[in-house]
Amino acid sequence: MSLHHRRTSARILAGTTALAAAAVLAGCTAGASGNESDTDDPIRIGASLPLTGPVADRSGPGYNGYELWAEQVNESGGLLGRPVELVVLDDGFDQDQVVSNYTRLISQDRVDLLLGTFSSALNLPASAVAERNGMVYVEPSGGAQEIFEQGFTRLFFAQPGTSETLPDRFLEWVESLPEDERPATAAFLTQTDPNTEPAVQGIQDGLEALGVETVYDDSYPVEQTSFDAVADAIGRAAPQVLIHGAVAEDGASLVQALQRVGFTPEVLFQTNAPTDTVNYPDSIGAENTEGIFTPVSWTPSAQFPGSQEFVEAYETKYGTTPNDDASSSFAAAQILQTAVEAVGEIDQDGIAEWLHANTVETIAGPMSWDERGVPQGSLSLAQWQDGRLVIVLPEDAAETSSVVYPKPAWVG
Amino acid sequence: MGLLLQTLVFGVLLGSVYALASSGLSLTYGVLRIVNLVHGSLLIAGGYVTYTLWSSIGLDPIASVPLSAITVGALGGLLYLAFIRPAMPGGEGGTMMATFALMIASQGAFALIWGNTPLTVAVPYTRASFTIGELNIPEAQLYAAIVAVLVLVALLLLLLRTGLGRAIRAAAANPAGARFVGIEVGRINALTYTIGAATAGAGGALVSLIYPLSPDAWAQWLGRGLAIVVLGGLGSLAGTFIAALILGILETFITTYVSLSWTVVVPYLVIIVVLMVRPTGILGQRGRTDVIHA
Repeated sequence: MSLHHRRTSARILAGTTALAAAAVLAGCTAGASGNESDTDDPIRIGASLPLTGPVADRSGPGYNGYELWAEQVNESGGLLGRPVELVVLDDGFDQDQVVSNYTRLISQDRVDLLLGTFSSALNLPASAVAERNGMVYVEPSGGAQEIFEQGFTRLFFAQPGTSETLPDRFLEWVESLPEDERPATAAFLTQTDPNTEPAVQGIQDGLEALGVETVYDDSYPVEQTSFDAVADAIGRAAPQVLIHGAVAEDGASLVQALQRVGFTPEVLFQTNAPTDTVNYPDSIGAENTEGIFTPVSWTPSAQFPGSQEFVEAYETKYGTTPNDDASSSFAAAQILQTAVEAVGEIDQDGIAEWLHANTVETIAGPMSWDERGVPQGSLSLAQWQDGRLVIVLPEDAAETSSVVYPKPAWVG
Repeated sequence: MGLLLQTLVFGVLLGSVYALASSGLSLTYGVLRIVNLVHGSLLIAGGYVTYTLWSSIGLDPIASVPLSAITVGALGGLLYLAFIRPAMPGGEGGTMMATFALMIASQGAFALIWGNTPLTVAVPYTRASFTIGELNIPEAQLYAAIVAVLVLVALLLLLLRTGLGRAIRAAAANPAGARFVGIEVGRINALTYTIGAATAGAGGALVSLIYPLSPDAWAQWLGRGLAIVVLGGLGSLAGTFIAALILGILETFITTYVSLSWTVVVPYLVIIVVLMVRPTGILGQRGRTDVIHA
């Protein structure tokens, strides 16, 4: 705090001195002189992450993604020739805290640039703070439709597609099945969350349109920890397809409860949780991951430019394989970096304008955005096969042409 | 019929663990008049101890119940002597502030030691169950419920049948009188807090079998524990047990017969209704909340 104060005071002093000197010399280059005095100062990039709280397991890798990017940028000469410095605050997955954190980053810490937080629930209010203050806001997560319906012009989503497109590939796969092999019944369960709820609803609408009957449909709040009774109820409804809008640990908890009640659906589609390639297999049993579907923005075997180098550097630094949260935050930082370098200065209007008009190459593929900040691609459908998470659709990104169906029964 | 019985089984299993998890809270309030806000944290500490024993030396979570109880009991005793007893002259408000501070600090301590990623004690039987006809009994929950009942019975026997138990009850009922007959009330209070913390440690070991552990998980256990203790009647162990069973059964019945979305809310609505009708809770007695009813 005091260090920051001193630094700010130093900067003001330097700026004032330059201004005074310029005035004495009867020049009109005060602004330029002010900028020159900043050249060695780091570019400060602020973000608030839910480093503690119920989704802490998701944001840890996300933080690593930002950190790795900053380290790599600094090693290769910085951004606009200046080093970058991350200012990261913890919001404990609290909507009020995330608002006060971004407000603090902008008005008190006076960061130069912003990066987004994790989950739709947090990005929804955080993006509003950024927009109000005229700051560009590139978010690594938060694909809920309502985020993009606020009329914001400086918001950009760093994944290939939003929740609106989340059901597409899965429905495409169901539709591709011969009619006599298509499932006839489905159950839908979701946490009440701005991202998973509409996504699960989208799949339900799509499956019902394909003639699949809904036999169970329920939702639960984030506080829910006991899943035995719900797993039992689902087992009794005996759906062929189970769609679960999981946010974090609730994913593994439900699968464990399904194992306890001894019910295996033929198709299990779960959001978020199965992309945690480290803890998820541990929690549910590695062999039990076989056949589980999940939507992904990226997998460690993705072949986009820079993706394999990212995996390698991440594994070296953190000793574990990155998940798609790590890649999304790295990609968000890449997007911001590309735009800042293209504009050549920290000009929020210029950066936003440039991003609306151009395509950026990221480790999760090329991305471009409409006027709302919605990316013009869609998420891929991945499936756990032989202990690995592989993309099965769309065909041009698929890492395998075979799909596990029906899902094998749980093993003890 | 099958569904009804199944739901009841899930409810009783859940309720038994709730009972152990909240019994210490009831004990510390009944004897010491301390609203022990750090109770949920002690419970989670027990879970973390169990996780550490399991991940480092492969000790089964059920086998680590005594170790977890001793460790957390000792920790609780130290916290009592260092932070809570000095706050006692401030009355219930003083001890509440002390335990509140410990509760906040505990989350940071957990995060520093075990990190923020939720940890799971992944023993294979947490994913297995016994089947009797159509009835499904989750193995881990069954073991947890059995151990919970055993620990609670031991606690009741301690209070009812031993000299220490009599001293604890005497210190609760009439501290001055207890002192007069030679009971060292200060020592008994410290021991009572230690026993309360030890039950939290035992409860934490069982909780780690069923739920993921994270530094902030104390909150839901403290909330649930306070609700159970209030519903059962402040300071009444038997009331706590009944209330815990009611809450567990209520949760599973709502999940099965109403909707999952109501599960978290309805137990608290019931508590509000019970308190409106019977403000002392199920087994609480008006004007005698300073007595521990075993």
